[in-house]
Amino acid sequence: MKIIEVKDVSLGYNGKAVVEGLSFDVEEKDFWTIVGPNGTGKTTLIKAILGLIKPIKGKILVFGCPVQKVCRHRKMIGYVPQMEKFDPNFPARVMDVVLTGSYNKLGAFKMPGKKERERALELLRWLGMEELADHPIGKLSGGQQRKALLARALFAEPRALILDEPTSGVDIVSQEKLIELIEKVYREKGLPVLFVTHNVNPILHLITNAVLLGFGKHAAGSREILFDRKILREIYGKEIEIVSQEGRKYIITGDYHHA
Amino acid sequence: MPEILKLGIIQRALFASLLVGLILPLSGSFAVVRKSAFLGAGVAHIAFSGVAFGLMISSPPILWAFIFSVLASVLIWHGGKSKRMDYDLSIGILFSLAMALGILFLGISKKYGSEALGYLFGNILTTTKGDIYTLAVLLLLLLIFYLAFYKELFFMSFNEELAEASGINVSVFSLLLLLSMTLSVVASLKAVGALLVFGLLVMPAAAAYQLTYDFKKMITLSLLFGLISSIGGIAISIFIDVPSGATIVLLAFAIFLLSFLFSRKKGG
Repeated sequence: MKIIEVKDVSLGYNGKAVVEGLSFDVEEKDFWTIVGPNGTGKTTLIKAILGLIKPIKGKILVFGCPVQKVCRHRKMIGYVPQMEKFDPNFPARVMDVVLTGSYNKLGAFKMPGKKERERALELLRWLGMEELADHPIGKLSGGQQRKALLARALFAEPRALILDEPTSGVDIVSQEKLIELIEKVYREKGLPVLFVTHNVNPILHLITNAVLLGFGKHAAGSREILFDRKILREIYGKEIEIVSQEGRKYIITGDYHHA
Repeated sequence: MPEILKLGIIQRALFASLLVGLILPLSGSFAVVRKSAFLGAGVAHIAFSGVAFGLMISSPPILWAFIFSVLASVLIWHGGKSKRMDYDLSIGILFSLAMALGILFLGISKKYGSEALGYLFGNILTTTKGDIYTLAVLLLLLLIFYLAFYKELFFMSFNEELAEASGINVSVFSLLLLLSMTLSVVASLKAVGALLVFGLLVMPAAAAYQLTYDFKKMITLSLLFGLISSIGGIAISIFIDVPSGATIVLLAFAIFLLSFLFSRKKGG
């Protein structure tokens, strides 16, 4: 079953396209990565899939429904945004943030009750952060904040997950733990995942498909395109090293910023 | 009951201060967490230019205060929505424009009299029964609005992008929040005055913000501080015969200062 269909989509701001004519389909059990240098439209693509911005051209369907239409399907995607740290003094605890995942199912005047709290606690326990339920969200580390947002995204029992650079700004140890958790979500809950990143190496073992975004160029397909030197050269505009170590491949892109 | 409390004028003043002490901190709580408190100052000054216009054309000043500030709110909202201008910038521009217009209208009409000053500095002792009914209805409407949409308002205050991605119409709720604050400010203008209304809008909420990480508790504390400031301020002003608006805001500031000093929240 097709979960997300991106059909000949062009994206950009003020009529100027950053991505042109992109097409790919996300199906059940897929683990897609969206990778490329800064400023090539990775977050723009995610925002278009979520219906937050309109494509200049083309169509995006989520569960068969055009995302620009108000359809229930849009709410079936769990989303963890790219983010800087929260305001450390914002009056919200981890529990409050996780419970926002229940809001879609509650009508006007209704507040989350005991049932919702128990489910939130259960999710936090599953993610190994139950003891932080009453902590102010702004006081947590970057990695813990992403975990809380992951719990929030999972609360609504989504049918797909979109993670926008969930490991950026997170220290290396927390990064590994976070990826372990994302793997747990992917494998145990069987959710298709779209994972935006600069660095695919920590998730290479999970990736089934990839979208590579470069400046005015793109490629989308199975994971093999990640190891295609010709495609990588076109996307990054330079030779990209692929290193094999202990039976695993690593792609060495370095920090790439458009001049 | 002390004799003074049997006077109709004092009873009305106390009722009005009680209502204003709830209305402003309620709207102010959202303005503080959304970091849009300056909006309140802008709206209050824009409302004053409406008052001056009303006085100039001999039409009900509050009606014009309402029209001016709602129009300005829609402009500010539209500017923010189209991302062409920051809130702060559009408020700053409209703020200055409004003050210039207000002074111009008063200059043309030559009405620098007590009525204009009353709206600028506030005089809760001039509150009529009609004003109290208006404030009471507004409080009821605000309570219904905030209770019905607490979830949406809290969520978008926490993270607008995430709220929007979850299907909340952030743009519409931003406008509704802005309008609810505008109504609160305009309705409180006569009691506290354009110069001081901002104090009661922001200080009780800012004090509450210092003391808790629970948004519901913050709103409750903000209402409590608003009530203490307004009722306490009016009582002090009656007994020692000093201007009520200033006393209310000074008391709100004292509460804020204490909260700030005893807050466990730290920056960074």
